[in-house]
Amino acid sequence: MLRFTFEEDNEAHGVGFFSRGTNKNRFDDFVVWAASSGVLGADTSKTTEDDPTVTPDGDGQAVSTPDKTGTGAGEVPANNPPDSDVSPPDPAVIESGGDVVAVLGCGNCHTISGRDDATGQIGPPLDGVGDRAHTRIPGTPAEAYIRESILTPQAFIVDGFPAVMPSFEGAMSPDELDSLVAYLLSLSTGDVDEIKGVSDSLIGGRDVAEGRSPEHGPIGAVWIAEAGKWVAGGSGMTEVGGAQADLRLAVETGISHAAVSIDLTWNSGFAGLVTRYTDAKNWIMAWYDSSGFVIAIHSADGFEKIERIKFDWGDTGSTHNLKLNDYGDNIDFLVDDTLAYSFDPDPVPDSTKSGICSRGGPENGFTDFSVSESGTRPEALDDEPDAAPQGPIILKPQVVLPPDPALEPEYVEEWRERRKTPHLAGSLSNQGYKLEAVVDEGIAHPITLTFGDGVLYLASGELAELEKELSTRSNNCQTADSHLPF
Amino acid sequence: MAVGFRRATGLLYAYDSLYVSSRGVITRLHDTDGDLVADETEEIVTGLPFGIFGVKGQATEHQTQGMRLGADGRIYVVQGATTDRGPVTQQYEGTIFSMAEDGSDIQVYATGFRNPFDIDFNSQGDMFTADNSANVKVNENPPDELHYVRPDGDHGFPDVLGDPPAGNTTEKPLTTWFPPLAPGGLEFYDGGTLTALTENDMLLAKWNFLEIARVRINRVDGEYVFVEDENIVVGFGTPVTDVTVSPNGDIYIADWGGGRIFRISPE
Repeated sequence: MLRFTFEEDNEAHGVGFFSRGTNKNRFDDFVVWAASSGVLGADTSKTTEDDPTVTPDGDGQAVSTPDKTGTGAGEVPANNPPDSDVSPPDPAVIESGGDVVAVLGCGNCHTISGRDDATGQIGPPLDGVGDRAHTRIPGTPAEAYIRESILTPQAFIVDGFPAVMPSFEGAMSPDELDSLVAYLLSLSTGDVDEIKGVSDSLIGGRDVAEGRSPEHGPIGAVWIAEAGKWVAGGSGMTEVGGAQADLRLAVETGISHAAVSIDLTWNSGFAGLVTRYTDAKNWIMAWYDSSGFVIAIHSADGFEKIERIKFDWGDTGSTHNLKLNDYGDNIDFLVDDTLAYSFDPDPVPDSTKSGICSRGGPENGFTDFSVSESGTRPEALDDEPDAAPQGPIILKPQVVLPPDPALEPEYVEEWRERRKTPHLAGSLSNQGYKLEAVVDEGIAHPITLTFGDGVLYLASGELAELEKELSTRSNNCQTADSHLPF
Repeated sequence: MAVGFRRATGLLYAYDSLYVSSRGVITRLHDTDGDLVADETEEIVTGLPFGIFGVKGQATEHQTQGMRLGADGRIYVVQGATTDRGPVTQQYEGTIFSMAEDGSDIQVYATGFRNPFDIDFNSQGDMFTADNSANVKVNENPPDELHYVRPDGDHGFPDVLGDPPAGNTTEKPLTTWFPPLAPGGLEFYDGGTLTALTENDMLLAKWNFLEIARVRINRVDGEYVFVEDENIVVGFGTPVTDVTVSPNGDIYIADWGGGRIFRISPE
């Protein structure tokens, strides 16, 4: 599994790109750092003029130039960002730092969630210290602050706590101290409030990211290591109130049949996943949007097939898991492990890039963006979800049945509001014929009719595929190239 | 009368029974005491093919569909192919077959269909259907097809989508429709109250365009010819699935999206 966090390995510590700039409608100021390995950084002071990894194309849009050679170690771009000399956190180092905590007995006075040996109440809790360390003393970076707090704790006392901590200078080797600092820096609560202040230590990713916002200016997403979150943002959001910006971020994973997953706290707009990303015209995306639909799009040479499926996500601000499981021919989109849509794309874009997509407020926070091999498609998905019971209801003409809850979808009222009054046309108009509804209520969806022995028989029920079609149509999407129901 | 079918898309009243086609199954319902509740329910055919959701290439809505009673007393059934574009691998896939009233003695009547929703016989006893096109792909726009169903004929699917190319011997559609109208239920107007229609008019539900059309099919020099199609009911706002004619000649329409049943009758 590729999990785009610091903890994964020494080479790739996350992926991200970030934007800045004042020109809302162009990419001239768009900054992206991306490469395959090594320590990378995002420097929001950079512009395209001094960053050779970003080259404006003919349309004035910045395109990044990724490292094409793969994931070999040490392939740091020639033009290192200024903060590239910060050592990458090493999981092993962090782990040994955790051991130091046990040896020194830090937990006698401090609480660290999840550790039985750290439940002390004398000193401030250390949960999230990695998030807030840089805020304690203006001008003092997080690492320096933590180091100082260990060696000369009296230099800064957190409000509300006694100044009783002894110095630990000399109590451990320099390596042990380094590992302890790394461990404490890794303690994150993911507090969104802290993100802005630590953006200078953003870490770039393995490969290229693409940001598109043709109407609203540069945008981007960054992995905030200290906060443990992905954050999508851009000038369209930060500088233009209420404006939206598209984000498409695709990462070279080397996995052709990928299972892409994020935990998402969704607040506005939409957010979701992208896979099989070849270029701006060839990709597969699925996301949840604030109108209560799952949107699924397969773009082939810019020819987009769009499906909109009603899906109950819940309240904004709630956190859910999204998965895009790519089995090659079938691609399933799951929300909280419930199948929301299944692609059967043709052609399948030949790509091993996957990622995230977003539009909306800056607090569509992503966590745990991960990519792994999709494995085998579960057999449980080999039949349609929500196969509603259905069958013939028997009707005598002009008899209206009471509503049957089992046959009433939750949004039938929405359809009823949408339905219009048809009229006769062509050869049947002006013939003295009348068109009337003999059954107006009580049947959610009549499918087929037949007469027999003076009785009108009716089969009614749900047709899952048809609902998708209806949703598409109701939003004035195309008819000719949409999925046909029969 | 009965519930619990999985996507019932075909109904036929014959032999004092209601036949219901659903996914993989044809069921016969019989009401012995006239209370309009089925007293006898028997699955007379099982194991028929249908598209399975999520399986590569398969189309969920493809299954056993419309049924009609033939002049020979046998029941004719539309059996959709399970896939968008083939291959055809299962018995009876993409065919119209006939069976005895008890579901026995299944015989293939014609082949090469993708997924017609319905069939009907005209007044001459010849069968017609409207087949749903394959899904549109980049630079490929297969049309819907109107067919005279020739006994034992191969009507093209999956090898031919739309009109057969030169030299191909599969049945040529009477006409094709693009953009696809997604033909649903269809029925010839056999006469009655609506004298503006003729027995050569086949009523057709156009799912994609939310309309009911009449499709005029004439016989010229012994061959069937598509003359014209014309919308006769428009403006539903939501998709329509089926149209049928009552014994006296009124037209009934299933407004699937709107949850209504409409009737056309004289004032």
